[in-house]
Amino acid sequence: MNYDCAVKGENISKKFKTFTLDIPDLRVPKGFATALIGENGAGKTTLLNMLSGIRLDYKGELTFFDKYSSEEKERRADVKNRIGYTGTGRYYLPQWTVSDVEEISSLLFDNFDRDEFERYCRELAIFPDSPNGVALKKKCSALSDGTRTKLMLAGVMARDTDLLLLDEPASPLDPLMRDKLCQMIGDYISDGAGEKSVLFSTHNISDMESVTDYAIIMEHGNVVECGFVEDLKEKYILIKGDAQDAEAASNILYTMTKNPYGFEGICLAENLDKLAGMNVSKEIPSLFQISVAVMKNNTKMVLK
Amino acid sequence: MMIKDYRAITNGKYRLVCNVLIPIILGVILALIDIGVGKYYVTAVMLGVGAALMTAIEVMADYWGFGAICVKGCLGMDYLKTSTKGKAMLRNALTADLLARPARIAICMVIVAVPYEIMVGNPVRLLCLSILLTADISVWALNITRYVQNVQVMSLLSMLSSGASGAAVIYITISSELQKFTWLIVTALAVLLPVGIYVTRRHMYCKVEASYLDMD
Repeated sequence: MNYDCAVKGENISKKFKTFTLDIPDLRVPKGFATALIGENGAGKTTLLNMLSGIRLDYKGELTFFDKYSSEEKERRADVKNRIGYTGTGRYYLPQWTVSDVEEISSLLFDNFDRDEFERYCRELAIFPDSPNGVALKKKCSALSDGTRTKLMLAGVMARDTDLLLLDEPASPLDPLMRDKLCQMIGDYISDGAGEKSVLFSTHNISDMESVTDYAIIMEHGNVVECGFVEDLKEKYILIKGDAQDAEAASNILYTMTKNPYGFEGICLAENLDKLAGMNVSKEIPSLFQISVAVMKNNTKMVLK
Repeated sequence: MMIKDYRAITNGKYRLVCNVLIPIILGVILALIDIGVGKYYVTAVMLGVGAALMTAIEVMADYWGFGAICVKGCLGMDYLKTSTKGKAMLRNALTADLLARPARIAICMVIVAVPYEIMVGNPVRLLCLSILLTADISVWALNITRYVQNVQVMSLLSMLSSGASGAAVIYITISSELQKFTWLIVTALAVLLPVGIYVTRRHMYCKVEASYLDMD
């Protein structure tokens, strides 16, 4: 499938003492929501920090909106302001209040809309006159993780951006808010008419699957699988079979779990014919199942 | 613009306490004690006490404003880094804070010196000494205190520096050997102050730049 890219990366690498991020080819398609999936320590936050400009010490070439290099992006406010980022680290100064965030955002970003910010704060129940309101003068350090995440989302959504980089936006959120987040991402993409893109890292693959168009799966600093979800669901098949065939199937399936009654596993579509003769059923796997299978195949964890 | 950025980065309470309340309260208290006693040596002691208290407050209060900014990851800068204006905003706030320090110290010490001028005469020598010594310590100490995350260590440092500044002011003033060198000492302190502001500013700017790097 041919597509334009919101972000392209070539030979991206960054070395730490015990970890190396090494991505020869990175593509974030334009006009879609991309999920960045991986184990803890896979390099998702490191990659997002590099894309957002929070960390500038890395090697390789990044291209934004098919036109601008990383240096140009850092230098030009008209380019950098098109990118919104939410993170998991020390995002706000601890003494800032909700109203400070509004004031400072208007100083930092020309495209920040105060009315939109207040609207999102009301929608996400951050203002004091809402049913679950938070006082405007409450410090960011005193907010719960979930409320702070909502404040970050309100801040980026109140800007006119073309690319959102969201680091674990769903992790601190309750199930209702996760559903709301999926709706917000969906509306953002559809309102952009193919020009707006979202890249979010997540552990909550099941909750975010409804809004995910493209997936990038990382392990140990490398991209081990990537593609549009519909393509991945054609590449991988969920196989279920009887216990008697488990032994034979274990050599064919990508990953497998078994119990006394049968087995279940992910098979590459190209290996499907090797299962001929076995009593198996085929299903379309979920993105969660595909991600777990790919991560299991590449993990350094000891799995029994 | 610098003032706007200074206001954006720092806490309103920090600005109110450091720039308004402390100079007024401290100045009034010391002036009242000074009026009550009215002797030369006690006035020197008052300026020394003023220097000591201002130094302690300057060193400790910075913890509320900028915290341990030089410790990697301590200051919440990620949001500022997502804007091309973030670095400049932080730099402006750091610079404005450095320039505000000698100004508020001078105001406080002038308030203390007013009764001395009324009763005894020209307090310029003593005043310059106490202002410049306190301002120098307040500025140069940042190069150490902005690495301190622990509030108990910060309290200890503020007590040590306040004792040193107060004792230095009093001793230089009343010592017959050092009195003749007071203007030389004041000149040296006057030179050290802009140097301290420049060095501290460069140091802080380097730390802001370093926060973009993962140094393992």
